[in-house]
Amino acid sequence: MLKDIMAKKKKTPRYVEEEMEQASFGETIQKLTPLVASLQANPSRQTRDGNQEIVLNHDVAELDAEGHPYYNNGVLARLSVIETYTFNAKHREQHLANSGYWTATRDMERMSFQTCRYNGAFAVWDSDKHKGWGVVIENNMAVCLGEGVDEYNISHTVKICKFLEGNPNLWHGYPIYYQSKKEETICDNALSYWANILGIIDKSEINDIKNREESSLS
Amino acid sequence: MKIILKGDFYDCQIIRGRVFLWNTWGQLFVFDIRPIINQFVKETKGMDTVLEIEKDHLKNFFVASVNVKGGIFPLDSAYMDDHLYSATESGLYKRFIQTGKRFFDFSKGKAFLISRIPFYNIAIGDGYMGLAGKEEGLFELYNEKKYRISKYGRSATMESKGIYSVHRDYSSYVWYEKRNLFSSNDRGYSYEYLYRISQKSDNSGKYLRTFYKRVENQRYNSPFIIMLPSPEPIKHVKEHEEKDSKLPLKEYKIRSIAPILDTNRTEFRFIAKGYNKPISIESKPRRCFKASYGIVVESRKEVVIVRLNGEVFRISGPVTRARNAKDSFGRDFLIVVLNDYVLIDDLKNQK
Repeated sequence: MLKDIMAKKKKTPRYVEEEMEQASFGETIQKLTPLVASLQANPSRQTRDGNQEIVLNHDVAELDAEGHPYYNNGVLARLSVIETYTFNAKHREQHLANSGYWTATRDMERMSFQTCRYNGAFAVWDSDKHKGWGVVIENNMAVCLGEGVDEYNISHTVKICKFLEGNPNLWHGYPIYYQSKKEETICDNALSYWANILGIIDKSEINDIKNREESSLS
Repeated sequence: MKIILKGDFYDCQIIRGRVFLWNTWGQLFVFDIRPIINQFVKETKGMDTVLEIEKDHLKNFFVASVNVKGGIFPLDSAYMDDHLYSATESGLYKRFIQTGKRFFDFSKGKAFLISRIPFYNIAIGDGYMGLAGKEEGLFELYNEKKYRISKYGRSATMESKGIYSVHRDYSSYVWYEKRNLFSSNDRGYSYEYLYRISQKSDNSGKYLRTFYKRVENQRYNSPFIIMLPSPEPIKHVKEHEEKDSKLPLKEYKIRSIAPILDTNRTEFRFIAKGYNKPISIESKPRRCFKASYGIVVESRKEVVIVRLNGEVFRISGPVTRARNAKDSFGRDFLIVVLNDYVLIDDLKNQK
């Protein structure tokens, strides 16, 4: 199985005609974002530590070494994955002083995770594929999700949240103040998804977000 | 001459007549637009006109394309020693560029240089490359073979092959002036001037030791950004001088250095010999650089160009990136990446 996949991944030598076809300025590159498939959300359940969690059974795109979706003869290769998302009480009812907390509903939290997780808004590094950034869109605008803290522990209303895979297949998320110097920069995949697919940020704002400056998402 | 390249691009570099364009999907396209420029110059006979190249027409001059590794949006990019360097979120990458050949082969050579350090600003100076990594500090890349720790000054430690860590202080901008290394940051109004000394050791003569001496570390308590242009004689100084200026010029040394930028201010002050003028900008400045045509301040809403004789003109945005490039004769020209097109202008006849 693995040999077959590796054999298919071997690239044929590129010729000028192929390069010319590729130079269609992004129209063909839209395959960068894998599509959402067969998404099912089961009812939530209570865990021992008081958190509520939800089991998500879905298909995700198979990614190659560079984090791009892998296509087999033009068909998106998929993997069936069962993941659990936790509504962490630390970021809700008993929110900590030095971390962000949700003011949005649990449905919005789950929606932001799903749009983030299944649309490629994740880091591209091999070791850091277990984190991502998400937003919730209403009327083509990003809505406020909660409060995040800056490096001086001052809270701000924020529109961006971050998701982490703390344990294998166990996810949780919380709103972040991306301008804080403690926060790491939002990955390119997320910014590309927001700019090219969702259209909630302008191309000129990408630089500002990467430099932790003000933007329409702040 | 003014050239407009229609299309939605993220970044642009011009290297030896080839146009390198990054799109917002993480692809890099290379075009050779020299034939169309030569034809245009012949037709217009050197008249000052605008050459507009449509997106479909631009495809005819396509040379190569490549998926940029490490990230979709480069933080900064530069060209040095036949290599194109691209600083991304996951580190620094380089690609060998054979400009003598018709097509580029991007697949050969080791592309990856250093991991996990995002460099926000790259500067090139006479075989050296300055890399500003904000919280990570200031770095320099050069290809001297061996290194021995010096006892004097601030020694450089090798982080990766050819990349040396100068210091770990916050550094957001870096530039060169006559082989001297300067760095500044966007937190305050300070700059530092570092002098690099490379010497061969006495015994073997093989090993080079490199250390940095911090010559000057200036801090200004001014509410404005201070721009210090080169100390060339400026004509008509008295015409532009403002009498009600609150900043006495004697407090500041006029040196041959590039601008200092505070990204939290939307007003800055242009200072030269006997010249002191406030200039406002619509949004917070992102970065600035110095070229032969003046000092360029890039912000999201506009690009402000301040000539050394005091003239100010603006290019309204939204601006994705502003860059300086050199043509084959070494003349500077400005590249501004806007929402729908890329503007390439030598700013000779700008009013």
